[in-house]
Amino acid sequence: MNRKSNQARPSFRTMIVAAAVAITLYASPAAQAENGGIVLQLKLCTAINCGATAIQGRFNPNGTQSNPWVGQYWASASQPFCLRLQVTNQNKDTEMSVVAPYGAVFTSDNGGGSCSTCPRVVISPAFSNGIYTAVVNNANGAAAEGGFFLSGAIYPTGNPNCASPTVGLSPMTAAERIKMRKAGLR
Amino acid sequence: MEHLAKSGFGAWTYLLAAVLGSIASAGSALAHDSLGPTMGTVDRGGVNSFLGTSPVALSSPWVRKYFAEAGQCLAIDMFQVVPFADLELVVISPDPSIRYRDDDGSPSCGNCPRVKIDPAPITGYYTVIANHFAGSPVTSDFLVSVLRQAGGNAACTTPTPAF
Repeated sequence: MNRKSNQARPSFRTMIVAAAVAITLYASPAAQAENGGIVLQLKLCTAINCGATAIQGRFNPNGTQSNPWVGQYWASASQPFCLRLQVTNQNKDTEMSVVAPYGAVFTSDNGGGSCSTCPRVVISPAFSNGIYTAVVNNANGAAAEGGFFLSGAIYPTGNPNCASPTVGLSPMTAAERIKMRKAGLR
Repeated sequence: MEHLAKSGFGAWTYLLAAVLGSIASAGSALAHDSLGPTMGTVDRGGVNSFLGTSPVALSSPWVRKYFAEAGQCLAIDMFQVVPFADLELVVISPDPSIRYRDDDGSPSCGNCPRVKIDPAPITGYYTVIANHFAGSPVTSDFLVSVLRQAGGNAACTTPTPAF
């Protein structure tokens, strides 16, 4: 009986290792993109993408089914700020749309810089404290496998990283426009 | 030694379970698949307001991916928002430059959103984002019905224009 109970019960060390493996895998970039988000802290430096959180992402199709990468970024600060998300390296031509908490969509295909075909989205000023959702995929949306590095940070408005902001789009009916105005947006 | 050998077997079992569990949870957290060529389902979702690293409440949207084949109709209709909050839907197609948005288009309730994509431009996963229309931090649960049917289906009459 004792032997059987020893066989069934894992040691404390085993359970710790198992928990660590589960946490590590769950907290990998893919899991973060799915579930949580990356908390961005206000950066006061002025070099391009300085202090940014850089992560590696990938999009994997299932056969001919295109499957974009989705990530979430928490952006909040006590002063006006901008959100800058830039793909700095890629092995496929990528495109990115970022959805603000209030539904405006900011899209970039070729953001320039050292990687001219990499997307770059700058939302300045970022209007609300909340979570921004980034969608990255092959530029034409066709099923393809690709990887990229994505830098993300928030900076005070006026910082060089906030220059050349991306235009946000959000088509609305006249009634919705009035509603947005009453809510203090746009 | 015997005990160690046996607990070693247990360790591998638990490690394997941890790996499989983590992979399964990461994979199923966002994407919704269906095996048939068409489908209809109802999902439960929620938007949240909570405190992050700052004392300001943050607005957290609900995000999910749904599959559609090129040419099909994909209709996403929100209803039963409890407690009521004025929510909107944004959908990003697999091509991130093709987007859809709706705020008050659903007949299900006064300010519920509905997005109808017809024809779906690309075969793949469509990213659906629901949140308060003004990005205000609110906490609310809701149901969404998701229909994937042949193009031209009645569920997709008057499709939402892409922008």
